Amino acid sequence: MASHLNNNPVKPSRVVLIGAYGFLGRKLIDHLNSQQIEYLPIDLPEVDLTAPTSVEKFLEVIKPEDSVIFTSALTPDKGKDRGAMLKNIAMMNHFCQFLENGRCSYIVYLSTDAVYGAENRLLRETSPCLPDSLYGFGHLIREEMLRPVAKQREIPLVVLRSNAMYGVGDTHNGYGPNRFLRSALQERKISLFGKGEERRCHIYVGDVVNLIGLCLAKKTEGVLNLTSGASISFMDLAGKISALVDNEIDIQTSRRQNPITHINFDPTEIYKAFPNFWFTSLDDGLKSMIANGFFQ
Amino acid sequence: MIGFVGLSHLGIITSVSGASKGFKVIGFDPNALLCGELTEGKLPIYEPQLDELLAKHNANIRFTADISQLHQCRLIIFSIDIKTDESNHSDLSVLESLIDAVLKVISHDTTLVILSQVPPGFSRRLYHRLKDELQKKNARLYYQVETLIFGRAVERALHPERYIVGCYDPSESLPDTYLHFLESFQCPILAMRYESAELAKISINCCLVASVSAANTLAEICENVGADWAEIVPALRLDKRIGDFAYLEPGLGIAGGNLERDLVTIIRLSNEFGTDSGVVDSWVSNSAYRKDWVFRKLHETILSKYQDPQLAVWGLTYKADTKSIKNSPSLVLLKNLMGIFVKAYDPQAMLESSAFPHVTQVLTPLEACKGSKVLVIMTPWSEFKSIDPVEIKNNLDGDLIIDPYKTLNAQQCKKAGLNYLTLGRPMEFTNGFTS
Repeated sequence: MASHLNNNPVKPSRVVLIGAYGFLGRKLIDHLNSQQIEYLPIDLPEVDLTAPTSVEKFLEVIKPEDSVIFTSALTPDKGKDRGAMLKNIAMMNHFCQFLENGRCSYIVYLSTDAVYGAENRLLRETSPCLPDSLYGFGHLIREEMLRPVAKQREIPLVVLRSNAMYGVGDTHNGYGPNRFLRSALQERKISLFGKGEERRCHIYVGDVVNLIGLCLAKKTEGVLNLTSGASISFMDLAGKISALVDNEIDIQTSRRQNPITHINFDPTEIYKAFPNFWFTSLDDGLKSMIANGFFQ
Repeated sequence: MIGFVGLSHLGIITSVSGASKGFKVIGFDPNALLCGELTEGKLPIYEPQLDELLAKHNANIRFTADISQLHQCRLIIFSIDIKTDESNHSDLSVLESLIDAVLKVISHDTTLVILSQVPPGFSRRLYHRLKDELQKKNARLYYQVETLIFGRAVERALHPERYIVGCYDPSESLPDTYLHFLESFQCPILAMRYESAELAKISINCCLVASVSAANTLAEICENVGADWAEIVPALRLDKRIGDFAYLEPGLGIAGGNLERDLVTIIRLSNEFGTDSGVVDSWVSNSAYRKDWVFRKLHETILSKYQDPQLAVWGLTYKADTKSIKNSPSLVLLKNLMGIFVKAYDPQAMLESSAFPHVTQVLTPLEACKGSKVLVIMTPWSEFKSIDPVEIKNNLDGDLIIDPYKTLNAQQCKKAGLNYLTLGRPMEFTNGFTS
């Protein structure tokens, strides 16, 4: 559930981008440049967010009038274990320590739909969070760490729980559009778990960037799932990619190890928050990736 | 003489129907202005046949704001509307104050009947609180289930299916005055303990909600798998366990306030006593989800495709033949469309323009269509049925009708060149395809 503090869009005076050099961070920089919004990038190698010294850095550079976008996290491809989760929690711990002593005017926190867990149910912002991975738990803990500090410091906060992102420049290689496209182009094959029956929602990175831009402008508060609501099975996704790359792609199935779980999202709240927002269709998103030639 | 306390929608309907059975009736309400208007035959509510019924039997009914007039009545029925807050919780304080005030003026041997909607346990608690005073005046206290349906209230009041009466002790016979009144309507009278009657009312509503929720859930599946719920419904009605009159029409969530209040009451009781109300939680959740069906469809078809589209909305009330807009899906839709220009028409209801600055209310249905990309019919008023789809097409700046309740004929709309979207089946395009 979300509401806007600004009835009309207002350009932020400056944006601090924590996690500026990741897949999403780089896209956000492009967006902020195109909108002529001043920004301050914070990320490795200059600042190690997992180190306590990052608190000092935040205190030094973040001004009370800044809007902060926090996207920094170790994604599952960089580790799904306790160590990765604890590092993710440490990053948020340091940001919260900064907030207890410093100040900013607005926070956009990029969370993940993994906080809900993989269950056969229609998910919406009010659904119980039952993560089934340490990655999901880590993000849920980060949300719960951040929310009370922001509230106590009276700093508006929006938590954006994003579907799995895809798009040019993605290095994560997660099971989905990026890996399938890369594999189709480089190896002429797509490997599926089971027969790829599971349905999932995917979101184009450009849509995430634009939605974050809208949140910044309207100073949106609350929780929103970043989802178009459109889901597709991995088999259909593989077929779509195969047709798009114009090759005879070998779609390989395997013996199923786990029961089929479909994860669908109700997009009503994001529609309500931004009634005129147009989501990029999966077809258009994939075409844009191919046209960009990133994987060639 | 029969007294009605509280000239709410329920109070007006039941007092006039009592008068129509030949009883002398006093309708009391603290609102003198309202009593004056009713005396002049001006009704603050709209119900089919009510005007005529009041005009025909007005010699039998007197409206007054003078509480002492109730002294003449041997049967007094409390019919105030129990207000609910935004969370659908009931405020019973007004009812209790009125009962206290009335008790001071009644004669000996008067029967008091609570017709207002109260939660289980209320009547017995009230009885114990008032016991001494009731005994002093040899008065008896009953609770009677009301089954008012907006838009069909007169028909239901004149021809009730049954009366459900809650008693302190159901083994005792009902007082003659009360029995005589109830028997005049010639339907079964079911006497039971207070708590059973109070819960019976909620049970009826829960069964209705269960049916509607099942219909909504299955209708949405139909929209996705290519089935037509309207084709399935006759098969269900022929099943005796479901029946001819089951609530099987898909809709846009529960509205009107009464059903919602009963669901809140069940969840509260369940929490209090540690029983499982998961299914009721699901009905509430499904209802909220259904309220946004039109908004989701509008987003898919119009809002995600056109910059600043103008929309036409027919119907603001929560159902046809009423002025009530409480929890109306139409208003929920309009709130979600804040910032998008809407031209709206309703035969009875008026919007508060300050709350809906993006909505212009117009005087005719076709005026709303002029320049709009889509027509959305949010209330199935019968006057909409007679409008020619060709006229709609000629006035629209688009070719889509979203008509959840099938107010218009789908085939005629298609013939007129309109794409037609309704609940329970896939979108029908003019070229014959379905989505």
